[in-house]
Amino acid sequence: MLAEYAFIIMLIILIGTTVAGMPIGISMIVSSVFYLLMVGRDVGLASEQVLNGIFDNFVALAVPLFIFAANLMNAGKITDRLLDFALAMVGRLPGGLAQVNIATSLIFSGMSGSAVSDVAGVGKVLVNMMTEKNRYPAGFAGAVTAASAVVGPIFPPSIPMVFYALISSTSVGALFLGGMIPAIMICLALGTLVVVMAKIRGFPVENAIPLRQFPIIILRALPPLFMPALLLGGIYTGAFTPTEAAAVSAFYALLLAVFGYRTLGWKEFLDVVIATARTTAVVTIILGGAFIFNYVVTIERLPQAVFELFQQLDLTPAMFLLLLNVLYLLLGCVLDVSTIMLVVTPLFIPAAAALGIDLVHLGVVLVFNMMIGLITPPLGILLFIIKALNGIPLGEMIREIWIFVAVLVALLLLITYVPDLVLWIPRMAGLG
Amino acid sequence: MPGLAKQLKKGADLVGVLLFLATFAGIILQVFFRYVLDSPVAWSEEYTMIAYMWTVFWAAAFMVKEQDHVSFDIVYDSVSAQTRRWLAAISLVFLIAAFVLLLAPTLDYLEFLTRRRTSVLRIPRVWVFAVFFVFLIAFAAQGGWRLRGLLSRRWPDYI
Repeated sequence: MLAEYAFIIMLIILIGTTVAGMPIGISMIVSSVFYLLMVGRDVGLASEQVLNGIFDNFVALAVPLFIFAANLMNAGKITDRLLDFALAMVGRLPGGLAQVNIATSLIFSGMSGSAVSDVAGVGKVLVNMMTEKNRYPAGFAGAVTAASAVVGPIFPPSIPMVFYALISSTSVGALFLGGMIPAIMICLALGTLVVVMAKIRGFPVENAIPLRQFPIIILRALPPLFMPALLLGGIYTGAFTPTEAAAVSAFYALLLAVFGYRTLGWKEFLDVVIATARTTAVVTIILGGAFIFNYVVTIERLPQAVFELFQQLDLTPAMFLLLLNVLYLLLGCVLDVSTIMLVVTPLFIPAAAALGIDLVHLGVVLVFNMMIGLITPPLGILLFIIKALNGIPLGEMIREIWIFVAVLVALLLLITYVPDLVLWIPRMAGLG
Repeated sequence: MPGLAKQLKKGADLVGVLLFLATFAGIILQVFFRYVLDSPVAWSEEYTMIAYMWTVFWAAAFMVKEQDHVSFDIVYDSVSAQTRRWLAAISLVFLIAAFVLLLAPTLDYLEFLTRRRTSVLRIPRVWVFAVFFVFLIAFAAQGGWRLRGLLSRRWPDYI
């Protein structure tokens, strides 16, 4: 009797405890324990699934290592060194500092896989520069920082893409390379939008930097720029696995901060490692929780049911992708990215595969989609982080963010329906 | 007592730091052996994953407060302190119950793993996963501590 309703009761426990503030990774473990108890299976399966799930996935380790690399770069102020470079390159365009903001986001995203660390690091510095002496409206400065930070996990490396690879058995390398063109398109589109807005609203242009200073500025920017080159080159040629690439970039950031720039002392280093160890635990436990949760979901044949439902609906791949995009845009407004990726996405993989949708393409589309959720009012997490770090009122940012959201949604539809934009580079690398 | 608690916390942090750095070093050595010394080693991946397991569950047990985990906080943040107190208390009851229920079966599983060895280093697998048992006890105990606090008169300190 109890066994029949076990899955429903489990979902109620999961949702109830999560809404009551329990961490999602923990509530997945807790609710699964009750499920196993109710259906009369060995409760120890929960431990077994969590432990083996993590232990057998070497790729999962890439996630904490990418976080480590980003933390090191922020603490070592490595990214700040790129500001002069970006200023020289795009500062003379209309809306100069906003353009610099977009350009540094793209460079930073080549070293980090998270949008939050972009906003918290170089984003914070740029918002300060933009709002100094009221040169830009604070709301606009915050909005452009948030909007450009979304390229972080779209341009390689990318933490959500590692999660997607784990649940869909696709190649992390192919996903990473697939994000390159969409990310560059985002930056070009945002840059163009800023040019138009700057002309209409009369935003300032930065003083042109004399050409003879260029060689020295470029030379100074080379050491940090070498890092994304190393990472991308390593993955493109297959020299490094993503986990190795993550470790090597953290190692390089460490060398640069400790010996190159001497910006990272012993005390700061210790703080970075402690913070990283904490994040490692939090992120990995979500992953572990997802292993046992998805095990139960598979016993209950839920992906199968979703698959049959879509078969009955008789959708074309185009309609399916549209439906998924709408669903994920809504989910992205309320749930955090790793939760959606690890819990919701596995339900749709079999249906997508049956419709002949390329799973690498789907992964990049879904990650792109969820990044829009990070900046969509009223709950977009990036807006809250900028508010906390720079004290810009939420209302002012919300007024400015809509146009950026609209541009990103348009781009999302474009890459959804032109898969080659995603798949071209992975194919060239022989991964598609 | 606060002095001792502080020392213990510092010690726990230090162990966590060493475990994380041990994980990191494993991959760096793997790359170093393959590309610099041109002689890839077989043990590095397994060693790294063992260090990683210990980092994760050690840090989860002793370095992260339950409240620091990522959670869905839209509802939790928008209700009154009194409601929050009861939400937290009820979910802690579920947490403690589930973790206590897990203890015996996990011990069984670990006991079974004393007879299994890892594929490269040939270490009994129980040592790879034993830290999970430590995590279960520590996390349930902290949950119990917080629950006791929430039910006491000084509950606002425990939200």
